[in-house]
Amino acid sequence: MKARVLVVDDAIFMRKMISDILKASGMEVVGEAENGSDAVEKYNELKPDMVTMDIIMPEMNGIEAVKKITSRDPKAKIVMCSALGQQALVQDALAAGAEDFLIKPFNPSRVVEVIAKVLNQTVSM
Amino acid sequence: MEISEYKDLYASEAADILQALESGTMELEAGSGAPAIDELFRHAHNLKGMSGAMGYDSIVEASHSIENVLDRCRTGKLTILGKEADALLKVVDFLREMISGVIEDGESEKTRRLLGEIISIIKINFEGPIVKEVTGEDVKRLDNSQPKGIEPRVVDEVGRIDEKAEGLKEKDEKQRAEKAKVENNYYTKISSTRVEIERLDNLMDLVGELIISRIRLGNLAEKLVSKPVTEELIVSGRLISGIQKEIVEARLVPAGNIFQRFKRLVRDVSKELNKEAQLKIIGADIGLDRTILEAMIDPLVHLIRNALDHGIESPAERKAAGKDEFGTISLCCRRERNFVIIEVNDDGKGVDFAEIAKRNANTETKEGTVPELSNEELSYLLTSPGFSTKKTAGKYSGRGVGMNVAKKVVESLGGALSIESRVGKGTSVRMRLPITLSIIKALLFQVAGEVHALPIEYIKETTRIEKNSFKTIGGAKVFLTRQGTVPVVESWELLDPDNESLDSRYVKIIVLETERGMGGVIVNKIIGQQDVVIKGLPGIIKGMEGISGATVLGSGKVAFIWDPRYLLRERQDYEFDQQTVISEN
Repeated sequence: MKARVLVVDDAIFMRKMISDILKASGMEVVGEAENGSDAVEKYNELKPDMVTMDIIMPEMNGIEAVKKITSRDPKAKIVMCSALGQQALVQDALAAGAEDFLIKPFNPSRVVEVIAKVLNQTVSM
Repeated sequence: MEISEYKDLYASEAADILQALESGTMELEAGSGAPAIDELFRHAHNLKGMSGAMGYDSIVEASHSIENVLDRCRTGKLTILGKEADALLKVVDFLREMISGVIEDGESEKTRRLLGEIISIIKINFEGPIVKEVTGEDVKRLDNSQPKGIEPRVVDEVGRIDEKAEGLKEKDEKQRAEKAKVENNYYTKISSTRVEIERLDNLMDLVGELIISRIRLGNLAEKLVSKPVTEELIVSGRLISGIQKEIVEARLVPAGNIFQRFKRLVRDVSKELNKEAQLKIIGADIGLDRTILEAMIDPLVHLIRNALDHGIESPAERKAAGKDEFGTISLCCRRERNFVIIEVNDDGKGVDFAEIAKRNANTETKEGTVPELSNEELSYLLTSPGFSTKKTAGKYSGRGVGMNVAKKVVESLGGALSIESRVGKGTSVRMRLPITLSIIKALLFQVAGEVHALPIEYIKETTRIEKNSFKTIGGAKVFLTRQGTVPVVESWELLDPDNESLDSRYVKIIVLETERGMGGVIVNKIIGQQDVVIKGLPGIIKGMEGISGATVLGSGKVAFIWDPRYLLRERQDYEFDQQTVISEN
């Protein structure tokens, strides 16, 4: 079965690019969210296998969203997506319960590699 | 993954970001604090991320250096006041140029040069030891923000305590709200989605085709004379117009999309004219057809410049007149039935009637009197080509073309422009525009075997008159209707409308009315009223005067849609003396 992914980013451009990369590697993008609170809502609604999460977003940032999601669903698989220069925030996100991270600009093969790794953990668990 | 596929999306989102950077900088300048900085930072950050993905390294570098500036604002090392805002806006301007450069030709000499400009502006204005000159503006702001005689530190402390109390209250409320939200989570639905405009345009075309096919079906059904078929066709016709209406609504773009950018215009122009003015936007969420909205940018720029240059007085003059030193220009948008109204209002000095009288050679002025002008007369005068009350043409207005251009654009979109002015109170320019350009209600009729169309809103009546009842006045052929004496549109006679109905005693006439008066066109057969989908004219006949478009009929034939204003353009040349006409009868 195709892995179901929720893509979270406040830039449409990034959402489209990430979605395209995921779709090209055989995953299903079940939803997109444009801020943290939207992400929390959609996570609860869609119950995706995995989430890609931007950090700097309006309303609720990615780290808050990770905390909210993992507090309800400790098994949530979240991969942070961040631009260079946000390493400190990535650390915070990992501490908050994110599984791994990707640095923009994306290298498609690296994206697929990280996601496969995160998803395989789910299978083996 | 083909990167060029993302170019359009990049371009459109980058444009949004530039707009946000620009208005955010102005908000900062106006004194909004941390949230505005965070927003600006987020936008710069997104631009960096996107540009990185596209491989536009110079943009990455430029947006990164903007991020750095904002970071220093965030930590309180830097404040954005007049001078810094100027610098930051300049940076945004260069960035805009860079972005359009990389989108067109990729990284080039030009983008590197622009990047250099940006970096040097940032170095000069935001880096190095901050020895800030205290300007009058700074003092004014300090004066406003702090009660006199209290040490800034104390104010700070008090503020912090307030914040804490506020924070606790907020936290409590937040928790309650969140609890409610969690309970609601299961019931929330996805309520909106983004659709590419191109897709909506395609839908619009398809519905147009569907309407045409529906009309053809109607024609076929008529031959069948079957009641159930006819009834079902009426239902489907209604459903199709329902779909069409929905698509028209969905294609509308909020007026705010272009209105926001005028804030910058008002800021820059008023600064240069040494005036104080702000732009108030009302009705930013009202939807307009994209084509109309884009066409309105130029006229609005003219009108806003006019308002700043002619309308708004200098701060000293305003003070003397007992007004707020800050002038206000308001840009209002609202819906009125099937029209959208856009108004540009200023609270300036109003139109100088004496000056207008002097400029207008046709007005006979008695010594020492200022002629009262009605709003219609004022509108007519101010929008005449070459009319200006300015003695010399300035950079912003005074050439006397602005108003005329604005009026022409509005009229070409099928709208109307009017001006109202009150001395000492201000001037208001009102533009009435159609909601969409794609569909109009038209009257279809036949002339010399061909079907033609005229927009219904210009049709006063349709009538028939006896052939021998035409009169000739001053060389012009006229006829009498309930509306009075109406001249026949002469150019129309070229279509030879008479030749088909030679044996009949009567001719059918469509009476048109525009702001230029009335006129009649002789036709052979009136077919009826119908919604028609306007198709642009192709190639050689594109832009032909008098024809505003074409539509495809149920029969598959093409009908021209005529522009009534063009047909009646000659009317103003005739001076009809109603008295004479009546006595001749």
